[in-house]
Amino acid sequence: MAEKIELEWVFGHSEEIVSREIEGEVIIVPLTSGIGDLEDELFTLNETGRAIWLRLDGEKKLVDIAAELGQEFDAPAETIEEDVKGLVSELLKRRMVVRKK
Amino acid sequence: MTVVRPEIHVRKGGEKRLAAEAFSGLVSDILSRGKKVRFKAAGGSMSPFVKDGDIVSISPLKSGKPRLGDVVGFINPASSGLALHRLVGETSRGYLIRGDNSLEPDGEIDGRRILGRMTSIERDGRKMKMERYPQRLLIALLSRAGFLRGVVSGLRKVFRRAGAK
Repeated sequence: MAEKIELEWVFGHSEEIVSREIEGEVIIVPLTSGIGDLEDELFTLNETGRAIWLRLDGEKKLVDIAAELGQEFDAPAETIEEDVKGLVSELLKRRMVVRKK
Repeated sequence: MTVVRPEIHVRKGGEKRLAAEAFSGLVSDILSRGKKVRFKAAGGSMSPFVKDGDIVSISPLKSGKPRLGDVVGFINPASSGLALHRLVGETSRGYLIRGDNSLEPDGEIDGRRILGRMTSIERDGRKMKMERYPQRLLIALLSRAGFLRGVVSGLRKVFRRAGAK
């Protein structure tokens, strides 16, 4: 079952991945069993996902990230907050982010 | 403006073609974290030891220095892309690197451009045997002198003729 995510929590990128922004796209490579396997699965994020990912810096609370995104995207605050929590939950499940605070 | 919900997409690595500089950046990031990197080799400059389409693994240089005969992954100054060629010598200004099947050496390469050494090859789903150190040394010496290309091409002719009989 997916963990319930709180907006007061802070997340950062996991040590178990390498990520790089390439031509405006974020590419995430899991470091499974100590190998960065470029022939196996790679992960990419869409534009909204990228905007969230780049803000998961281990310092900002999710609520602050959602507020920043509210200025960038024309959508109700509740929708953005739910979207942020939804993506973080998915990233957490894939061990791509870790909770910092 | 319609807001698209955030999504994460899974792609099979081989399907994702990255620009040369982006690919070498990703490889460099992985190796600098002390992890091994696995990818499909492209081109014939290391044939027959590494063939186009082989899956190779590069490991970080734990001892700090690559050894003569090692096949190393390095950032080619000419293309800014990753190349996989053999270390055939060392000078005061850097390392001499050359593809076993290349007409010309890559020149003197600054050690900081060398990201790691090749530690495994997979071909047609099978792990290939890597040459041992004395063999690598011999190959490096032949390659440096420019003899390897001739030897390989001669051996190919012999095998082709034997196969035709």
